[in-house]
Amino acid sequence: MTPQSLFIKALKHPDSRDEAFSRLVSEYKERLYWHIRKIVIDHDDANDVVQNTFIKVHINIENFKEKSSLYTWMYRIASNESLNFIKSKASKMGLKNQEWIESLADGLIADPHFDGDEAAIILQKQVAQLPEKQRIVFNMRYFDRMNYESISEILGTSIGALKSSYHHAVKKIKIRLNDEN
Amino acid sequence: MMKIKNRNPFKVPKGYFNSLEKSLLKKNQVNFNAGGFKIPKNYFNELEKEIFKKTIKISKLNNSKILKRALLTFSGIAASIIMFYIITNPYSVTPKSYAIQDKEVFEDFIENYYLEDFESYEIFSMLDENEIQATFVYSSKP
Repeated sequence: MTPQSLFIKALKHPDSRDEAFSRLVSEYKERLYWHIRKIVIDHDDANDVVQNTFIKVHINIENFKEKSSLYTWMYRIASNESLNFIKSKASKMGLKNQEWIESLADGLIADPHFDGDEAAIILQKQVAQLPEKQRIVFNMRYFDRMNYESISEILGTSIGALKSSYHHAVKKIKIRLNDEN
Repeated sequence: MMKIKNRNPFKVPKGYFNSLEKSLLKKNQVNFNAGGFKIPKNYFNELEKEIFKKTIKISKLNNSKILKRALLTFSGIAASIIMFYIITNPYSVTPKSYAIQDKEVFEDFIENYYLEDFESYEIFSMLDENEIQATFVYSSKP
């Protein structure tokens, strides 16, 4: 049995679940938070989504079949939760998902939880204009430096499609940044 | 010669490639919050506490749900056993209840028989003075 299988077993067993879950939260809370934060942009929204993600992990751990690694599975839940959150928030505001994200990026300059310089704000605005999936791929590859294999497992997309998606995203951002200058 | 060319003479420690990615990430110190995003002070400790609070609540809720479900199942089974017993043995309960009912009807009949023809003054005439006094004088103390 691998260490991961043992850990998952501990997570599934009622006697050891709390302790194992505590370890899981302390190990992954930061990574998942930042992954979510880059998708939903706002800190309070990211806080809600990361909590929901861990609660979903806690509830569904018994149904986890170990077809992928625990880390991948949690990232997938976090990504889906983030996208669903954006969808519901945007529809409440009567906006399209893209419009909602762009409005958040436009408001970054006044956000107390953002201290990026002008270049960072411009980059975030450009990233916000990318289509949803392309934006997630860009964040995972550019900011989190994830390899394509991991991104492919998390998003359920082929490596080829991911490479092309990232390439297009970078190209679009470069063109827009040149146009701005 | 061909055989030698095709064989890779180098070896790596067991599990090397699994740990390679982790150690590289550590060396590179991936900055997950790159891009200018900030968080409140002590946020991750608070987040952990908040998550535990919520999961404990959910666990308690699930436990009580399981208990409720078990109680419902148990009472359902008990009710169906009783129903089954009554349906399959219709006379098992009735003789006793008949006997109780008979006894009650008989006692009522005797009481009514004695009281039927008596007026209240006749009843009083059968009582001595102390008994009458005790009937009319109400005392709160026993």
